[in-house]
This record gives sequence, C-alpha cells and structure tokens, in this order.
Amino acid sequence: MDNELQGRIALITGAGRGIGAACAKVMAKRGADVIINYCHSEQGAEDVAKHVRSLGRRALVVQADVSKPEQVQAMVSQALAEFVRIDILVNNAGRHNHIPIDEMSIEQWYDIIDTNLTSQMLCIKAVIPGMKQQEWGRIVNLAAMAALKGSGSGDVSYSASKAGVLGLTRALFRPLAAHGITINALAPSPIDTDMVSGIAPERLQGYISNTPVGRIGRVDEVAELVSFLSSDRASYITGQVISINGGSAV
Amino acid sequence: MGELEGKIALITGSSRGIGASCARVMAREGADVVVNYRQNKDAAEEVAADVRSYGRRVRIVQADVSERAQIQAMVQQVLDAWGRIDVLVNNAGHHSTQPYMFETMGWDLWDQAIETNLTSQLACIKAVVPGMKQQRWGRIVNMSSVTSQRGSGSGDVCYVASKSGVNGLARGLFSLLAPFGITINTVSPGTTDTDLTRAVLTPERIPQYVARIPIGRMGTPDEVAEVVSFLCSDRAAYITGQLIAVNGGEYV
Repeated sequence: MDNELQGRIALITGAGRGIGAACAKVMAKRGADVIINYCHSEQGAEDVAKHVRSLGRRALVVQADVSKPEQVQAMVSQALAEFVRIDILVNNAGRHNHIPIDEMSIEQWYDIIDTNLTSQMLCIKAVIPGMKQQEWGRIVNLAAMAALKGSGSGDVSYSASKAGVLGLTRALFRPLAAHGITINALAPSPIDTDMVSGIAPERLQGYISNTPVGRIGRVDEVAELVSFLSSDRASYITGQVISINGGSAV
Repeated sequence: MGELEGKIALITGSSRGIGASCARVMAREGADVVVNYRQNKDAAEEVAADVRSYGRRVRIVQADVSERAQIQAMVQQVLDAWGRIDVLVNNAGHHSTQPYMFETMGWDLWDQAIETNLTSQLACIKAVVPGMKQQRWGRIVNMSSVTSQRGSGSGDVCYVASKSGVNGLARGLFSLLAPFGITINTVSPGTTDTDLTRAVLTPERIPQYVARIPIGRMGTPDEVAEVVSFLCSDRAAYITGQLIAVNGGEYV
C-alpha cells in the first residue's frame, strides 16, 4: 500500500547505511516522517535525510551511540522536541565482530551485547511512555538469522546478542499489547550491506548456494517488511519472529 | 499504486470470512480477483460487487475444492478467460461445528478434515503452478490456524492435524518453486471474528478464548487479509517457506 505509514513518525537507529537507511527511505516513500539516527555514518545519514526530504517528508538527523543510556535519552528528547511524538521505533543499529569464543576478550563481548541488545532495550524504554500515552505504537527489532541458527563464522557475541533480541521481544509483547503497541522481531539472512562485505567470499557463496531464491537479500526487501509491520495493517501481529531469508533457513 | 497492481488472484472460499476480506483487500491493492465459493452464491455476489467497486475485474466461480475435478475446471475457466493466475490464496477450509470425541468419532470426520483442509490446498497448488512456472512469477499463501501451533485443548485432532499438514505444504515446496520466482508461505490466523469461528466457539465460549489473547480481542478478517496481500506482492519476494502468525499474541 502506497501510504500505509501516512502521518506516522518513525525513529530508526543506525539509519546512516544498510538496512536502516533503506528503512528510512522506504518508510518515507510510504508516508512517514523519519528520525535518522547514526553513530559514525554522518555523511550517510545526511544523504538519507536529503532523499527523505526529496520525497516531501520531514527528516531529522540525530547522532547518538544507542548503547549509552544518556545518549538515547538525548536523542529521544530531541526527536520529541521536533516531532512531538514517536509512533514507530525501528531497532536496527547493530554490529558484528566475527570473533570466535577462544579469541574473544570480555570487552569485545560486552561491546557487542551493548551495541546490539542493550541498545534495543534502551530505545524501547525511552519511547514506550509516549506510545502508551497515545495508545498506539510499533516496535520492530532487527534480530538476525544467526539468532535462530547460530553463526557460520562462530561469531558468538553476535549470535547471542541477536538471540537476546528475540527474548526482549517476547518479554514485552504481552505488557504492551493492552496499549495498542505491537513489538516484533525480524530475522534476516545475510543482506546486501557493508556488514556482509565482512564475510569471506567462500562463505557468502555458500549462503547463496543454500538459498532457494538464489541470491542475497536486498536492503529494500527488509525495509518493506519493516514498513508493513509498522503500519495499521499489521495491528494483529505481535510477539512474532519473522524470518526473511529467501528460503535459506526454513 | 497498489502493491498488487495488475495481478490476478484466485482466492478459494472467498464468499465470506477471511477469504472475502482477502478479495476486498487485494482488489483495493490493484488485483483482479476470482471469488470461489461452494454454496453461498449470494454472498459471493456481494464480494464481487465490492471488488468491482475498486475498479477491478472479478469472476465468480463455484467449485467444491474437496473435488479435484472441480478444481481443475475452476482453474481452466480462469485461464481461458484471463490467461493466467498470478496468486493463489488457499483459504477454503472446514471445521466441524459438532464437538466429537476422538475415541468414538467416525473416520469420515477425519477424512473430511484432511480432504477439505489439506488435500484441496495441494490440489489447487498443483493446478496453478504450471502457469506460474511458465511466467516465472507466482505467489501462494496457504491458510492455516493458530491451533496448528498451540494445539487444541478439546482434543480436536482432525482440524489441528489437517492444519499442521497445511504448514507442511510450504515447507515441502518452497525450495522447488523458488528458482521459478514463486514464493509459498503459510499464514496462521489466531482467533478471528468470522462466521466459522462463531459457529465453532459459540457465544458463551468466546470470552474465555479472548481472555488469553494479549491484544484483548479477536482478530478481524481484514487483519489477516492485509498480511496475505503483502506476501503476495513484489515487496515480499525474499520471504518464502515461512509461517506468519496473525494472532494478537495468542501464540508466540
């Protein structure tokens, strides 16, 4: 549907590139104003904002490291000052480190847990009061196929953090349901982004040959699913983990 | 532009309930629709009128999907008239409205559930896939039920097993169909406010069922139809072999 997000205001973390950037563009195309959070990709975020504005939607670019509570608070306050409300949260910011357990330091573990899991909790905590007040909200948490299946590279902190995202989703769908807020998680297979370029070519080719659709997924395909779940159309879907993987991990 | 612009969708059992909602929502999104019904001709005509009100073409085709010959005839009719079928929504289904004890039930109850709910879906898939393969584009959505995931408190093995079988159709076929641009997925509705649900649950039991749904109400058939429409669009080309639950949190 062309305008399934008409009038909605969406905060997307890590929207300077990859899936987050695609979400901002697709959600703007479908009618939403967007808050584009980035940590390091400032130019990317500005480019996304420019694109969003060219579609006639409003865009706010906000730098924040979403693993830090005070930065999350500041980001949300800034967004509310500009837009008055936040209807949709897309918890997209996240990182790999590709480090197997025997090489991993405890700092490297905490870093990924904080960036991928704690950040999602912090953002949810910050936006829920407003969503509850208006009795409407959508939260879409980007998990990963690795959350369900583990990581081919033995990347323990990534898989564990993303599995934690599923637990976060399941912990919250019941208490939020009474307030018109749905919360769901997505589990994409490797998608055509910078993160995927960190995967060894043989492994990537391995993924493709195990994918019935015969290709890596595109960022806009994930974004379309995010858009749908963030709309009124998906009002009866909550607590779910939806996999988008071209058939590679049924 | 709608997400199904120009697509031709065959929806079995679309004279009422979830099927009728699929017809309306998909027409809203730009599809031409084949409204299949078994008995309820007047209801089918009403749905067809709604489809036309969106400016879309519609064909009404009577067929009992538990009869394989009738499925063939239905599909042939559509192909003769419109040349192709892009989307199949396997929605027609049956649920006995009389409670039964599985120890004493007649085998006919089992046979009917399997034939009408499961075998018919495969027969429809078989009928439409050749055309979809030829054009290298297709969408198949099979309607299941939350009971296939959470089971039945009342020993309703016929319905639950038939719908669990439905879940196996997408799992069995997604890999074969993917190289042809055909996705196949299952939608598993929760407790949805339809004639079927109200006939099976009865007014006294509905509040007990609603009490265990976090969203606090039954789903509307439109809420199921919206997901079906999305899955049948180009937007969902990378989603296949999946089961998507639309159940207000009734089962995770």
